[in-house]
Amino acid sequence: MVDAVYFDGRSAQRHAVRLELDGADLLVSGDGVDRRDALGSLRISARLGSTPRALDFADGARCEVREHEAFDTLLREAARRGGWLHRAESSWRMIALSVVVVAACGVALFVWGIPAGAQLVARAMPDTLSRALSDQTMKLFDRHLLKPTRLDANRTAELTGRLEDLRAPDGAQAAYRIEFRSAPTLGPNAFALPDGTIVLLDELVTLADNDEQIAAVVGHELGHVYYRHGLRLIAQNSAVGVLAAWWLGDVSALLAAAPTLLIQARYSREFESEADRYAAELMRRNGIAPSRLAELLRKLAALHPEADDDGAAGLLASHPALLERARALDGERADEAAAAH
Amino acid sequence: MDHVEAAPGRSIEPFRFNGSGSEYFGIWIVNVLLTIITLGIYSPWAKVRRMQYFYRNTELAGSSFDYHGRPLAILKGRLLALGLLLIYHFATTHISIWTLLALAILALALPWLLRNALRFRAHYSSYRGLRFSFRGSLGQAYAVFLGYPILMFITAYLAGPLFHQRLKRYQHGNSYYGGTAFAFDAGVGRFYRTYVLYMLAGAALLALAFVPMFHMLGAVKAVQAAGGKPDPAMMMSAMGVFWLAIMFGVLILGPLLQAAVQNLIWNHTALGPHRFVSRLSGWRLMGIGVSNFLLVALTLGLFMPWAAVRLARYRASCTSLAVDGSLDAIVGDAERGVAALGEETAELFDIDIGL
Ligand SMILES: [Zn+2]
Repeated sequence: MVDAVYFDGRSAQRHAVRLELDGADLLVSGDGVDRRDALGSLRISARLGSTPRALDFADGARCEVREHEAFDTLLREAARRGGWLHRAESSWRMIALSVVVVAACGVALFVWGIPAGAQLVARAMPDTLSRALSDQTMKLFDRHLLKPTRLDANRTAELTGRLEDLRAPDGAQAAYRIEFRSAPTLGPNAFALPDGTIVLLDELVTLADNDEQIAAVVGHELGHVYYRHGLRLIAQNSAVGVLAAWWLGDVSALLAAAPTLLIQARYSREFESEADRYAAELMRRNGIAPSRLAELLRKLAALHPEADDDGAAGLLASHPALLERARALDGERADEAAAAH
Repeated sequence: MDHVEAAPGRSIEPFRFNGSGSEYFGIWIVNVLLTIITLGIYSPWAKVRRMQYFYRNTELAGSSFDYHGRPLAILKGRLLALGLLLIYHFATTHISIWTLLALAILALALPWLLRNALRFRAHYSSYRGLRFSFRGSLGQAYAVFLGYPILMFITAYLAGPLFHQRLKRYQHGNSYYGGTAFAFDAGVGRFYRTYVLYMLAGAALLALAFVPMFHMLGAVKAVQAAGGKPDPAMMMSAMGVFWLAIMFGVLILGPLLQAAVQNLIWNHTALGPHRFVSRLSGWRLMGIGVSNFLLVALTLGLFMPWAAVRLARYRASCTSLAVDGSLDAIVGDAERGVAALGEETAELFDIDIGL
């Protein structure tokens, strides 16, 4: 016998009743209630934590039971439907296993899943779309951030001519367009748009000791274009944003935005080294020593000594440690020397 | 049951939340696992289970609430919402003559969708064997979900409290428990009086966060979009001020406003002769919010179940129902039999809203 509370489905009146089993029938009795129903006609809610269980009768009546053990004993099989989920949810082994698997899935997703997915998306992106995106971005830059170049027209023409002669690592004529702009807020910098437009800032052109260093920068930016880093970054950030919102959104939308920032730093670090390796190959193809890029990176690092420490700034900075990249390029030179012998 | 005697014939019935963080953690993580290994297909079932955990643990006058949402209806609603989101996305990225048409379709669909979601949530909630229902008209839905937001937009959010009052009047004023109607009697003036200080503070905060950072932030975004490398120092300072202002808004002002508005809404809501009483403290809510935020961040989200349970427990502990006579006297709606409701609900589906 199990104590329960009965509601007739027509009013909110509580009836304290007792449940009994008679063969395949359930008897409900007490407080003006007396009914007999076939067990098969009842809907018995599955166990969920220590919440009350509900028995729904075909006519809309309902019983709430709080004595879980006694109820399970009374109804045996009938009460156990869906019980596997409750057993999993209350077994510490299953919970520990879930934590481990969920954590592993999360790590795998961020390390492999999202980058691979973003690469697929970036590759599938039609050229018309990436051209439209690049045009939009360039217009946005010109309106808010960039000013016309202050370099001498002869100098830019000479540089353009020299840079357009560069060959891609596979020997093809690299398809790109050089734009000169000035932007005091950005300092010595360069960037690439997905359609192959490469913007060189005056501050970088004047910082470089020679044109080979500028060619090295163009090689690096061409690496970004070749691997479609811009599009991949957009796709990755959107994916991280959506996933973080799903995972953390219940508590705070603010918190959900944080992983996007943190993980972006990691992804862009990979992209920078990938672009550096591409630049080294391109330079070797064109008879320029990869050390030219390392030289320029060291010059940049000397300008921003604080950007190179490994503290919190290093984690958040989307610009990976410049000196680290320069050291990696030193390794490239060694490879080249070995290959020459 | 601890019945606190109020006026003769009136008793105060407190709401109570009986869930526990560790119990909910097990339920939550196992359902997350099932969602992952089914590549998300299980997610509506997981949602039903989470909702049921919170409903069934919420107790009033010795009885619990229950949630009866159908996973397939939730799935249907999500697919629909995803479809609309895609329409919105494509309509706004490629500006063409179709953009206007798509936006018009969305604007017309949204009030209908939201009304449907309100009906879904009410209909699939029950207490003591009686269902809730929502009977707001479609015409009013268009006024509330389309008219007032447009007004809010053109008045730069000055009509915000008016919109909120209309929304709650529509939502609470058209809800039923069994055959007994809810009533809502807080006027627009009260909403403005509750909101005014927070609106001023919010405006000041937004100015602080956005105006000096607007150009910088735009620049950083644009450089990133191109795969470039923004200056880290600039990005850090821009982000730093922005985040501080937003954090202050979300973690400090948010809970204070939320408590004031929740109290206003529920203290002016009645179920037949029974009145709700809400005594949320903004400072307590803020304490819970801030500590939840920190602990969830430190545990990479694993504290979430405890955070949700803490919040639910505090909210329930501040809410009660001043019962006039007895809740037993409430009866179901005779005209709306179970069968009729069943037919009607075939068209219902859920979308995830936070109204
Ligand atoms: Zn780069």
